[in-house]
Amino acid sequence: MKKDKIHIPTYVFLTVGLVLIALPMYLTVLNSFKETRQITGGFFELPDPFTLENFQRLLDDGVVQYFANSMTITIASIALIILIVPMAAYALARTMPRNRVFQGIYIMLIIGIFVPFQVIMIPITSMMSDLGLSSKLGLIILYLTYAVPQSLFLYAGYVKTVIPKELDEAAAIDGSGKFNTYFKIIFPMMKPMHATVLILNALWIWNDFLLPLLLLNRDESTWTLPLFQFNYQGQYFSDFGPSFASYVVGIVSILIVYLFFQRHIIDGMANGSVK
Amino acid sequence: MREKGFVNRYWPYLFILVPLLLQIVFFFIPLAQGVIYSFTDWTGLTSSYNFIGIDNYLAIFSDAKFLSSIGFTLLFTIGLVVGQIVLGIAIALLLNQKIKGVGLFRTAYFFPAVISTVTLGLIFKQFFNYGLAPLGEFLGIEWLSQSLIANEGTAFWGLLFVALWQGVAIPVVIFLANLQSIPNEIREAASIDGANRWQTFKSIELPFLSPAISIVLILAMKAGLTAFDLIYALTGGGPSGSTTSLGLLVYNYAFKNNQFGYASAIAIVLFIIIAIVSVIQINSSKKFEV
Repeated sequence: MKKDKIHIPTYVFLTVGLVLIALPMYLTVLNSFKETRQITGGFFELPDPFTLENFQRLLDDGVVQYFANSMTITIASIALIILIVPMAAYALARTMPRNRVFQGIYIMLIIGIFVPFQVIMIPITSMMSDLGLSSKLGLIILYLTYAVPQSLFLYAGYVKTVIPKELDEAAAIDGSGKFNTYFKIIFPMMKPMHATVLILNALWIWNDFLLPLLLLNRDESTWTLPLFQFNYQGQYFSDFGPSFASYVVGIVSILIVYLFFQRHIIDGMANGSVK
Repeated sequence: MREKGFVNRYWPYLFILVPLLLQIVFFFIPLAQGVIYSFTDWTGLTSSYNFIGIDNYLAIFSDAKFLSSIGFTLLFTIGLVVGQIVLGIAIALLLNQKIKGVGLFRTAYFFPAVISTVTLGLIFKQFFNYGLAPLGEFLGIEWLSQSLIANEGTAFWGLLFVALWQGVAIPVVIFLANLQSIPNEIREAASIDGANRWQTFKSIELPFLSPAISIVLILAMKAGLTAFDLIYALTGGGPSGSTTSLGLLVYNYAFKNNQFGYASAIAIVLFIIIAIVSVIQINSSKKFEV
């Protein structure tokens, strides 16, 4: 009987929280099917008349292009991160215990964790502009660069604690070269860490706003989804039905991914935060 | 075979080459430039600038915008830290109970963490303007009948509410993971000894949570001190600059006022603040380490 006692207040509190989380999402979807004048006049009402015009306008205004930009940038950045970072982490994890130079390099590569982006924001913006890299390519390079500190830290810790050195030595005795050992043996063994790094960086890059704002704002054809949503709301200042449709696209796409990979995403967030 | 010998000898250098070059070009060089610019009067529009010593740093401390911004940023950060820890632990305790449907609740409570912060800011802006304000008018609640973010007195709270609406999700994940790592035997021993709910929390759960608390503290502090996306989308720093965070102030001075030199100096001050609180935090958390 004692167990039942705590159930009811628990459910009450949890349900209040659930409503608080669901309500803004529900209202966003609801309002995306309304005409603008009903959004201002009857925010909580059911759509009357029900309209798909907001979504039609969104398509006409090129939402597919912005969605594709976000996809390209996220996928390309992640692929490069997984290609470049674990390799370096493996090399550092193996050489650091005996070599001061590599200890120094390791610190150089992870020190970025402690530096707020605002410190480099101004120089990097003018540098990218001078290099002609205020583009999707430039953005991908920066995501790769700024993913290094945290991802490298996570990978290096994993190699040190999970992948024994004897494995490398056994492979070497069998005549396996370093590249071969890394790609055939070590890389596949890092699989759990690949999942964590992939999730943390994919979420960050997909949702990021400041870097696209700094690099891509001038060229509309390169906008990412969040940058488009922001500019779209400014553009249709008084006619914001289509804006609601743009939020729905953002939320629904991430919700689908979340429901499919929930377990991995939550594990990734938990692992990634433990510095 | 000579190539193989070369690779086997120098492989670590090859493996770290790309990230090292990237960090030097796109992190260390701009970092150095940021420090240098902070001693200049560079506007960002011309290619030339003059070194003006520490004038920018002296100007900061008599700049009303900076002083108001640092006050807001500290309050916002404190709100975020306290809210994330207190609400985070409370929700994690609720979600750690073995009750029916808890999986569904967890799914819902973690979801805000994956939404784009800027999208969320835009959504809540509409919600405050066209949803809550008419509702407050309808219900005759005066403080609600005007958009929460349009009023200097309430904008802070509106902003903090949205920040916590999203920001509490990851702390919940972290706290819950720690609560689940408490061995069952310890809980059983406590209940055999007749410990009540509060005693169990204080003597068993809280010690297990303490490493998580210091992680959340660092994350929340950094998020608060450098806040940009949400504020830019939700209030734009207003009304009349009352919610301009240091992160936003740097952006405004650099890209709206074209004062690259001065904005760089503020960024360096922000860096120093974060460095100081990080050092204090790391030192004090060492004392409590289990």
